[in-house]
Amino acid sequence: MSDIAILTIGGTVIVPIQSEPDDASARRMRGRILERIEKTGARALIIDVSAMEIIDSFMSRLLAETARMARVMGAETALVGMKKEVALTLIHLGVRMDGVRTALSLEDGMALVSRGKGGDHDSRR
Amino acid sequence: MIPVAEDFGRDGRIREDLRLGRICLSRRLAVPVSTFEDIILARQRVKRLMVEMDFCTLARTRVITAVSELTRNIVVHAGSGEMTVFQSAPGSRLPLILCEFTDQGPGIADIFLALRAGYSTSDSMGLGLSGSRKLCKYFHIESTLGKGTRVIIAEWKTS
Repeated sequence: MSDIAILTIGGTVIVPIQSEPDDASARRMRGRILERIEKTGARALIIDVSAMEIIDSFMSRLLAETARMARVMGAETALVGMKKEVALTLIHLGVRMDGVRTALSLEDGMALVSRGKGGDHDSRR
Repeated sequence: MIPVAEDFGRDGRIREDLRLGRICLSRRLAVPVSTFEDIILARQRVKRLMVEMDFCTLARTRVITAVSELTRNIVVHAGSGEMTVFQSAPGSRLPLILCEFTDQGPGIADIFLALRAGYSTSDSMGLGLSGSRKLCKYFHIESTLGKGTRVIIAEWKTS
């Protein structure tokens, strides 16, 4: 399957996940995101999951790990647009996305990560 | 024996009927599972059938997530296996979908342990089996060491 697009706008890396990636392309996506943050010195990462119909334990772990690695590299992550059915299913599954900020829309996500820049990492909206 | 609360009601009766093989099912599709791409294919096939059967989005999301977890278990632990999907007989008053996951892998030494959230023999979060059990209305597992594992999940419409 084709690789997931990674955009850079201003100091923000934006990743709209359009399809359901298999394990290999999801792992590749993680590597490419981190590479892009490194190359651009981005301070924010927004992963748009609004097109994803399911997020299983593998994918949720991969997303959480990506966010943690991005933070180590100095970029705040926001996961935006999760469908309510996906969120409910993740809770049922027992997945905890500790340390990952979430927002309803891309716009909210932008506001969230820009506010977080250089500030208290654990502060909530 | 004191019946537990979930043994009462319609869902409990359906579970019992499934356990005893009293529900007439027709085989709809089979997907061989051996690669990570097969996981996506299995998900898509089940999704299509559930859309066709007019299941709500939440039920679909729950079941397809379980399909994802259980097919990944086959790939990771057994190397290869199969998913077979059944549907209640056409015209049945109970719209029901049942997915069976079989493999001839190493089997599970301790099913109770394997069903515990957070237990994993691979480098995963250990939520695949325990989570799938919570995501579907019916869940059945049997495993023989050295012979393989069989997991069955089923979902039906509530109304």
